[in-house]
Amino acid sequence: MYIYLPIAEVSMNIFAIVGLGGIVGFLSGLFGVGGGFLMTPLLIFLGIPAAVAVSTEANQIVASSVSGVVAHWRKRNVDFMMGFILLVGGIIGSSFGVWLFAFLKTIGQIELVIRLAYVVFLGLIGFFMAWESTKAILKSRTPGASRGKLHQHNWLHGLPFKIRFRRSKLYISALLPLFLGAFVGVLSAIMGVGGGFIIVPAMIYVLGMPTAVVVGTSLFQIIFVTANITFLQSITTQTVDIILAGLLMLGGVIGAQFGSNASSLLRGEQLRGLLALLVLAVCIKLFMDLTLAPTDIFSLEIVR
Amino acid sequence: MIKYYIIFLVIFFPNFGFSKSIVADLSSDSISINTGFNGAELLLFGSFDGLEGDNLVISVEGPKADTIIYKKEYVSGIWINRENVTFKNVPSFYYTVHSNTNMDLENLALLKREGIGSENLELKSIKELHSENLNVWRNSLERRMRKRGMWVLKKGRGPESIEIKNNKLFRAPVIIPATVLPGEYKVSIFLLRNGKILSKENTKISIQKTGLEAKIYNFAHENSMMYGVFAVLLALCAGYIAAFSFRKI
Repeated sequence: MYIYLPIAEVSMNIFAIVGLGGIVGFLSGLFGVGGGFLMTPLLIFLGIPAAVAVSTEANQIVASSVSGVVAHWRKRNVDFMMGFILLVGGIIGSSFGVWLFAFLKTIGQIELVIRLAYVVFLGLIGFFMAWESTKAILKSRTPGASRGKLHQHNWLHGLPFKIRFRRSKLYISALLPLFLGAFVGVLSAIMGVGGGFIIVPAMIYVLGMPTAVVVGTSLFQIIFVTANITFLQSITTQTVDIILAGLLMLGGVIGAQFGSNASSLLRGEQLRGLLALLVLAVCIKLFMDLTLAPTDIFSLEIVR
Repeated sequence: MIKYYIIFLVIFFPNFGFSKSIVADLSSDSISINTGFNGAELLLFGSFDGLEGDNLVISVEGPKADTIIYKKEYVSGIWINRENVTFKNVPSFYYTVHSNTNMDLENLALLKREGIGSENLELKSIKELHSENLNVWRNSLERRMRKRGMWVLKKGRGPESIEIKNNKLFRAPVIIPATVLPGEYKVSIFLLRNGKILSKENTKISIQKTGLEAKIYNFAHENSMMYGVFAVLLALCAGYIAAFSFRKI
């Protein structure tokens, strides 16, 4: 059964879209990640225009982050002060990102920048996770290993405008989450991701937040950043396809439930190892597209 | 159905088959792009007064749009778009059928002169280009359009291209892909003999977005701020409902 997507202006099999949403939802439930970094490249591989894939995925992430944050909210695992500063940065960054996106589109380099951003960040994150989970798996086999300090103090803790973040038990400069939010906001707008795969490790290793509040706080701020991207893309490029987004949400919600149930079957470090392999696979695919000789060095774009 | 229509025409208009000019009709002159749209197939049929060896040429030309061609270059290990050329008013769809596989040179010259068929289109680039260079870009435009299935050239007779009966009746399927732009599609049929157009007939197909597709598209483009708010609210509600409906699982 085919459905014609009104904004993407392509006809696609409805079960393929819901199924894709389901599979990515399953993986995000299993690994506890947003899944945007998988969904956006897959939509582009399936023939959705890159601009529509990025904007529509931002819209879907709004829904998946809302459904994810509710559980964390109930367990009081959201640091609102931290989330607020992150989202102020995020809104500034993502607004700039949407502008940058439109600019890169007019000079014909948006596909290149999207792919490069994916290769660099997926490569870094994938490598880091693979290394970290291998270490954890090896460590779990050697009993008696000691645990380090919660977090180290370095020059980042000497920055001005210090604020007390009660829920995170931190006293750090507000500039840190502000810049982190802005940086991830730019990437969110360009890559069509929530940015959880960057912001979560950054919150743990750079800000030194306790792991319990990290996911809830990151989801909380992602809602606002992706809502901002959805809104701005609707106004500037008209590339948000609500039919495509709705079908992906449907698949994603169901898949995520199965995924989170399945996650109890695997150990944490094994899960992270598998996720690392997945991330590296997407990274390698995109890297090869950039470096291997294309079948035709000419490509075409119809302007309307 | 169409067979009966032709029989009807032949019975009630006895000179229908013998008239000098082409008489043609489409099985439908409008296509709506609605939720279930996945391309369409129309039938172009009619009669003409021909001799053995005559050429029938059909062309279907879609709405025009500016088209950019990018050329990739290998720069420090990766392939990136370096140069680009924009062609003005390029038909987004061009379907051509030649009834004969090998057309005479004089007929081919005629098509070229008249600009019939995608290979004979005169395309203008926005910036001035050296003619040799222009040809490279123009050829790659044509190659990419064919690859996308938006420019199609079919030669020879057959159920996929054109069927001709007794040099009087013809029927030809017109296949519209799912990626077409909405707009007016000009359909022309030419009867060629010895480098001259003996007769020609024009008709048109109107392709429009309808129903929900049209509503959403117009909403997004005409009231984009409200559309953005709506998209965000939709996602907020969907996420909230999802969180509560799976609460007890």
